Amino acid sequence: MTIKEYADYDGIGLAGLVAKKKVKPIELLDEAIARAEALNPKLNAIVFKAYDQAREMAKGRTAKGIFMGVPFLLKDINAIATGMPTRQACRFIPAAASDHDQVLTERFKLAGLIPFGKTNVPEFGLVPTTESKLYGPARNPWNLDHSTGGSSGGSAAAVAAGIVPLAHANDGGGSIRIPASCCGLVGLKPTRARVTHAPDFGEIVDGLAIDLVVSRSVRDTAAVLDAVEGPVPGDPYWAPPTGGSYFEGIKRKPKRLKVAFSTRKLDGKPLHADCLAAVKKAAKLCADLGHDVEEASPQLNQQQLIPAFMALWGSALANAIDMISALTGQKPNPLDFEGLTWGLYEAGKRVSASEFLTAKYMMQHAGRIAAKFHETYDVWLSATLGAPPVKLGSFDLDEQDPNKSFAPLIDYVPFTAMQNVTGQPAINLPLHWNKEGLPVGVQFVGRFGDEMTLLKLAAALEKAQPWFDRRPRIAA
Amino acid sequence: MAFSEYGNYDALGLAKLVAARKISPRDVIDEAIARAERLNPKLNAIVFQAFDRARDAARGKLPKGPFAGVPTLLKDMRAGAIGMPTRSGSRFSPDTPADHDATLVARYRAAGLVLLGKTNVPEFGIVATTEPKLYGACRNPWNTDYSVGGSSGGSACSVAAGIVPIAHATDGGGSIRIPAACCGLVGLKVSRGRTTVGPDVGDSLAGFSVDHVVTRSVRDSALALDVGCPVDFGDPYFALPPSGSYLEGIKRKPKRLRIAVTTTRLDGSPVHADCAAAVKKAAKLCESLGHHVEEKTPPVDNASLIQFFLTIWAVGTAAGVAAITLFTGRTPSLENLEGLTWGLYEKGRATSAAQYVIALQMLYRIGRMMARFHETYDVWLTPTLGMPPVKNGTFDLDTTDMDKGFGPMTDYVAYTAIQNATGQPAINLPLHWNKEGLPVGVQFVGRAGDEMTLLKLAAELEKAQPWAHRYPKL
Repeated sequence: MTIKEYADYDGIGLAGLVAKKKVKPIELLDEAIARAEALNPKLNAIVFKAYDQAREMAKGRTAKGIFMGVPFLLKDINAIATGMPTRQACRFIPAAASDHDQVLTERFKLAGLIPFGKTNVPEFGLVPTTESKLYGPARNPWNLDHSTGGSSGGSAAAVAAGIVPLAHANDGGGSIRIPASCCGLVGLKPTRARVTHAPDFGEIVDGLAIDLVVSRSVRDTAAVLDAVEGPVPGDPYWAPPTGGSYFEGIKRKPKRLKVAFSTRKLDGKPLHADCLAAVKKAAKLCADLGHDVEEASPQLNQQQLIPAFMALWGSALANAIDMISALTGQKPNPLDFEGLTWGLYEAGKRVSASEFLTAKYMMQHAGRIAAKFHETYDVWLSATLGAPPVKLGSFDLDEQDPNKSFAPLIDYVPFTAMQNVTGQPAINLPLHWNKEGLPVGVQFVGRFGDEMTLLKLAAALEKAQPWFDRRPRIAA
Repeated sequence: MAFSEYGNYDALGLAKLVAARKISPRDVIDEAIARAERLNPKLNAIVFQAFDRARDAARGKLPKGPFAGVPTLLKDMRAGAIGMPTRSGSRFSPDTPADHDATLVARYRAAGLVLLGKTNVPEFGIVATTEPKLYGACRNPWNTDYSVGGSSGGSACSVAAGIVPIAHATDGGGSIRIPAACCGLVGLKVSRGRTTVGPDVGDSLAGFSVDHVVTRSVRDSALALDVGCPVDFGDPYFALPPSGSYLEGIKRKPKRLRIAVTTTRLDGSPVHADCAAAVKKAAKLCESLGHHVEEKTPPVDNASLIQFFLTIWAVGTAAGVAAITLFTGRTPSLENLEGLTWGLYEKGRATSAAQYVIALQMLYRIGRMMARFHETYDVWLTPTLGMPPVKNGTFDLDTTDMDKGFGPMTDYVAYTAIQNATGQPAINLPLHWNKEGLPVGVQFVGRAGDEMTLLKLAAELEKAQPWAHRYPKL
């Protein structure tokens, strides 16, 4: 293999070359680093470089996992890794390197992935665009003026630009699916508790948030889920069992599915024409593949759920900042934070525990409504976003009033938070690009615990309408 | 026809008689009701009677479940059942009958259980004795001066007195195991997420509180879990799936287990001699069955555990009271809430969400610590309580001062709250009675998700040292 072809392969493909000894892990890593060095000044996707550490790993005994020797990047939220800081784009968090790998990071490494850095995020992953005072904006490889989405924006940019075939991401309101949508990638948010937060946490944002990756191929996502899923003793609760390997599962077609699709936002407001087009196209593609497709939406009460969601996020943020303050001995100061973060922190501190439980109650009630919906439908298809990727600078992140700061964001991200609320799995697929050449994703939502159906469907759609060779010019 | 041997059967035994048409469901239910009517004035175990409905059910077409024709009672907490109120032992809750069954209750009905009514609980199930202002004290069938424990006291009392062989119970800090210990019963607290609390809520007390039953036989507990445990889509999370039917599982002996035993308080100071005797006896019994037993206590900081635990309970109480206010328009006060409840409510109201989340995170850490402990030990054996059953009236439930109220209780309830924090299963077994003739239980704690090992061990112990013949003289 000439290294020029690096980006013609997905992670499984690269690992296959390593297994056949056509290329060495260190050669792959050097190529990835060369690409990072060439592209990162434009993209600002990578915010911490761990090149030397990664080179040591690549030269040593590489774990013989399914991703043996594949270069990888970790998001600057979670995926705590020895020798790397995790700052969540927050100036208040010291740039101290961690002294341990969390279980997820260990499992990535055991699968053969070689992490060589941390990727850009918005502060605490709060917003669907990757723009922070600490790191500056990540730029969309499809058009550098546009946002990568967030919060896993740096990871999505690095994958879309061909620096790595897949990268760690996590999702507490859409943060895997949104950047996957903006950057033309596969982004699966797994079921609540499918991936452990051990040993540092039992749950994150009350079970709203979960980790996985963004990738270019469905099989990479399936294989990485096989590699990292599963509880460890001491986890507070679990997801339903998987029912077998996802990587093997996607080799078989899904059964004939009943697919519901939404052509409007949950509050009845119209979608942007590009998003509507993306949904209709995806619905037609499903129908062409023999699935039963009809228009329907679950009766999720957004008006109730958004304040509940904000109460949970606000109090989690208050808890996080207070914990950091306790550890560093520094008092939080508005100057250390983005305005939007500070406003949510202040609001979060005022949330009473009783209000918190009420919010959680609403959230759990929504889970039952969704479960009822899925007695009829196997899958729910919607736009991932309410509009195509916005330009950088579109949102006022200095605004401290949460009502003002979040309203435009919610309008932009009208669907994805619902699956964090219900705990269901959901996947963004890159099935549409608009006239301006920007990716416009759709998301498929599955039953609680049923990533398998989503991945099988995704693999069938990928085969029917492949996207792998569709690359931004910057990646050429 | 009178069915005098009724009390000799466990639930499965009765169901088998019914299935074999040796007795009619009508006779079984009539006998249970006769016993309830005779004994309840002494015991105050049943606080809502649905006897007519039960008689009708027994005379109608019963579902062909594994418990067909067996009478049962539901605790006055959760377990909503059509036509029955659920007041959680509080004057503050309305006595409105439910218009739907809780999912678990629907499953019990579908299994053929016939619901006779609701059983006594302390207010909101907060304390380890069943003496609410709303209903008055429930009395221990082994000695009616004594407490039945709590909070599933009325259920335990009914089973121990032979009114029903099985009764619903819930456990958020020991409330299945404690009354089982006080009344000489089998009481399994299941793993977090094992039994659904739908459709009305997703979880209770952050998943600390779970539903199951108190029974006289291990197999009844196993079968009730087979009935209750299927996953309910819409639940916010799940327990690890069982490796198969529990009822089938207990037919096989457990493998040779590594059992850690604690014969003191968690801080190493001596525990009441009766409890030490009970646990030592149980340890010896395990050893005689071939298990490896050694003295070992996990490093639980009980003081900080209780502090965080009370935060979770306080907030749960505040949210519960707020919900009742929302539905009824009633204003909570010391007139309609007991002192200790009021104190918790006030503490809960003053707690911020961030403090609540910290408490939860700290308690989850205990889960990780216990998971490490169970890398070495399959089972942890402890006394269930720090003392034998106390007399009714021992605890001051009128004080609004948390320290004064809960202080004396923490020596009594010294082992059971940990498993609610960690989500592990734990079972009380009646393997010891003290000189005064009161039951003194021991608890076996298993790995999270592993009820199977506990039930297998329990069945083995039940066979080795049967307790079925032991009845209170009433």
